[in-house]
Amino acid sequence: MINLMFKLSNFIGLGEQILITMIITAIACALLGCFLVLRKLSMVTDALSHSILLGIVIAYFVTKDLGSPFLIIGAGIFGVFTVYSIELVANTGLVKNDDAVGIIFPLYFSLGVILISMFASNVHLDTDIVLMGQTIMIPLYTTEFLGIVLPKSLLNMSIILLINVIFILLFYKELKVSTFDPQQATLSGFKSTFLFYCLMALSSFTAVSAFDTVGAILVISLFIAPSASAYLITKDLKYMLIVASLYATVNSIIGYYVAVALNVSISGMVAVISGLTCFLTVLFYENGVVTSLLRLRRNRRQLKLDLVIVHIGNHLGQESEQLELGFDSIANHLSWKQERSSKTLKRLIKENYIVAEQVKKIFILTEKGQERYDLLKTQYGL
Amino acid sequence: MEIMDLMYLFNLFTASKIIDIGSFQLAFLSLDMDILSSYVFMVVCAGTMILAAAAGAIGTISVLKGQSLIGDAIGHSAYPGVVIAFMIGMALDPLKLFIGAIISGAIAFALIQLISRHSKLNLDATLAIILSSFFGLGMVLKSYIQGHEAFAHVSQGGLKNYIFGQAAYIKNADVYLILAVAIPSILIFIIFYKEFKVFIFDETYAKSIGIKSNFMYALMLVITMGLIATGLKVVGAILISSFLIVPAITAMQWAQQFNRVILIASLTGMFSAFLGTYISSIYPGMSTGPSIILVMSLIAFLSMLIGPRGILAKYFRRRKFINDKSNV
Amino acid sequence: MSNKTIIEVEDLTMAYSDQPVLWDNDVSIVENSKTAIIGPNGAGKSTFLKGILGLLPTLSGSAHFMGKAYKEVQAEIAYIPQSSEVNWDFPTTALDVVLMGRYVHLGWIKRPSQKDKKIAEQALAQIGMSEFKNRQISQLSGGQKQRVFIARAIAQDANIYIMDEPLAGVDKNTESIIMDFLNESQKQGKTSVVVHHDLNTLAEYFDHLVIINKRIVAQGKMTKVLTQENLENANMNGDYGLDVSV
Repeated sequence: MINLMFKLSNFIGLGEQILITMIITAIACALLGCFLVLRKLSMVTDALSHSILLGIVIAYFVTKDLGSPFLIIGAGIFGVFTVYSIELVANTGLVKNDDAVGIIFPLYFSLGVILISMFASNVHLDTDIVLMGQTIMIPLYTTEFLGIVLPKSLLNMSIILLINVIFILLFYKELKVSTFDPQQATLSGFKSTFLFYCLMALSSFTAVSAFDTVGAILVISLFIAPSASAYLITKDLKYMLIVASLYATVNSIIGYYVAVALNVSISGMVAVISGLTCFLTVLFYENGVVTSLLRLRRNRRQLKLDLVIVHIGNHLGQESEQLELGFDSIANHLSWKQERSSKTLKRLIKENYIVAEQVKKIFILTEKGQERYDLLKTQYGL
Repeated sequence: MEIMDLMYLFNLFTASKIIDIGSFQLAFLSLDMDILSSYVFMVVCAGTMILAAAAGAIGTISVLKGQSLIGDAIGHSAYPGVVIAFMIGMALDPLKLFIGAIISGAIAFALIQLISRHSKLNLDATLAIILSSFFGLGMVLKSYIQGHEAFAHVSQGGLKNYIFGQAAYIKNADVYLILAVAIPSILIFIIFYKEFKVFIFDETYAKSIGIKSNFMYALMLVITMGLIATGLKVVGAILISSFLIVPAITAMQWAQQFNRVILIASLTGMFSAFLGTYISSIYPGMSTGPSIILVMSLIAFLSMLIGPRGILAKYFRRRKFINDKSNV
Repeated sequence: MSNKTIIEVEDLTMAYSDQPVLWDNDVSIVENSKTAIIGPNGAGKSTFLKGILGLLPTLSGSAHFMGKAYKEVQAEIAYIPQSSEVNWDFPTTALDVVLMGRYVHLGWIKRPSQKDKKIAEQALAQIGMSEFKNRQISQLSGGQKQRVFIARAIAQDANIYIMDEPLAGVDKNTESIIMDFLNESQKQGKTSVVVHHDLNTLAEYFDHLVIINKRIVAQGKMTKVLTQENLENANMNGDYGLDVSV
């Protein structure tokens, strides 16, 4: 009977099973993460992932079985309760939203830690596993589904991914409207609070399911890093979802192989790689830190040239031109250092925008300079 | 046993019933003198109380500046610094680990500023990314140590303490370190009290009278970072931020003036540290850091409930308003 | 009123990253004047004030107050930022805020003395806010908050007042209190520079005018500068939809 069964491990190596589970988990998180990033709820995942611990402990006290599916359901519900508590505290108006997050999750996490150390120390709920999950153990816990034997986490996460995809496809329009304009959404009849809690419930269940394999910290990274990267480089929600999934996949693959090569924590490494790819995106995308710095420098140089052209154009023919535009006094009037102004002036002369008028000893515009001056005036509405 | 657990849990969650449990009642009504006078307890208590008092006072700055979660991110991000310092020094010297934590936290802070100022990512997303990737790095390094023979002979059990904190192991040297950080931090706060006040309330005006924003932010980082790094061993990377945030929230429910907010935050921090440490020394399972935070949070929620602007006050005011109206 | 210049701004150019906001502006503020600054939205009025006070970096140009750089005379210049830039959640009382006006005279470390406190209380009395001195700042109305900031400027005992839309969104009563204060200051020989938004009251409230729209459109005596042509040059007719007949 056993021999007839289709075993995944006969076809794919143990390592690849881990990798596939990782990728599916990452995509499931990243898809929801897009909406969290857009709604500025990123740190709620921090609260979720930490307080889930308490949810798991409570659910464990009820079910007495770490493998029970009710554990996931119980902890998932507790995650929603966490979000609800944050909203409740923030809605009193007594604290800011950030502070509400900052007061709720340490409380729940502390309770979780205390309960574990007081009553559940005999249970295999090691603190390392809480933070980093047991990625390496993924292939060891298998289950049978439709006649196929496969890792339990893989099955769980695939189901979660499927649910998330279906949810997004079904409510795409509503999610889009309520994310960008919650008021408009309520006005046009969508229940945005309802959608909010649906999103939170899914995030919570996704986080709980992922918690087991990747731990509390990586969950935050999986939710936010790929979606934030995608947010930077896409302009359309649809593409953002796709690009976030791509980032999630690439991060998982790189993280996995680097971790295996160095023999270190896989989930930790995926978090590091996710942070790195996001940081690189921040630096180098179209409006990235480095790219815009380069553009800024180029534009600033042009701006300085334009500035002098406008200055000369404005004062030419006025009584004060001797003072404002004189060879020696122009730098003073711009409050520039001598060196900076002579550099800019030389450049302007070289590019044939201005010439030095030797009689009055002032700078005047050439024909090309005059054209640029007129252009600038219309361009900036001067 | 199972039923007991459940009952206990139930009682714990209906916080009002906490005192119904006999042992807790005892704990609150008559403090155990044997524990109070034990040397170990006194050392631990001194450490946590000084730390909580300083963190409570200084936390008011970041909370009022609307940057409370930055402390959380920096707390998590300090962890890889601890591990690297350990790897370099091959020992758990508190001072070296402290320096490691400071450096790594400061790098994280710089990255947070860089990303949130120069990209369209908001602060929230930036914090989540930095927090998770730095902490992930810490875990990677830790797993590297565990699997590497060069470190096999060095005891590394203590590294975990920097994640969850292990106040029970506070030694004299740790108390000195806490003092060495807390006193200068508080002094800086006192010296620049006036400047901090204008800076938090009206940054633009502060600039116009010659108080440089960058300088104030740097000061704020230095004193906050120092406390976070010292607090790691006591409460751990994950929970240290609550030492900064929660007392400030409590204080803001009661006081309407900055100096009083600072004082109340400091005092509630200190009181929570004392009670938390005491509870944890009676019940061996209750770790000190989480117990302190439990006490802190309960005080904060209680304050939000019964404070002068709290939920109950609001409720009674509304009722009175409705009554007055119906009488008319 | 003399015609001496008290604030001299020369060739001021400012930019947000690489987008120029103000182009090569020369402005002279006359001593002992009440000068209004007007311009359409996004014309760079606030930026201009921040530029001359050194709160934002400038690309070129300089500003001199009484012939000196701002840093040297900052105690004599009281600036009132737009109220939107203030952290209203901060736990502090009205008197405390006014007392902040004394900080610039105190230097580092030193605390306000009883004398400073007295000055602050007098300042509050002058704008009719004495009864609110221990009220928390967040519990005051918009007009009352603005009056507290005026009191802070009074307490600073400055020679020049620079205000960014102090009359925006305040009640009639506050408006007349603020204007009384500005008139009184003028009698004492002080100068005020005020970003203003209401063309209806412009000529009544102020005697000098600067019209900005990325560059200086016009400046000088109110009677000379407030013309239909100048407003049109600054694209200001559509914005206000007012019939200006001066």
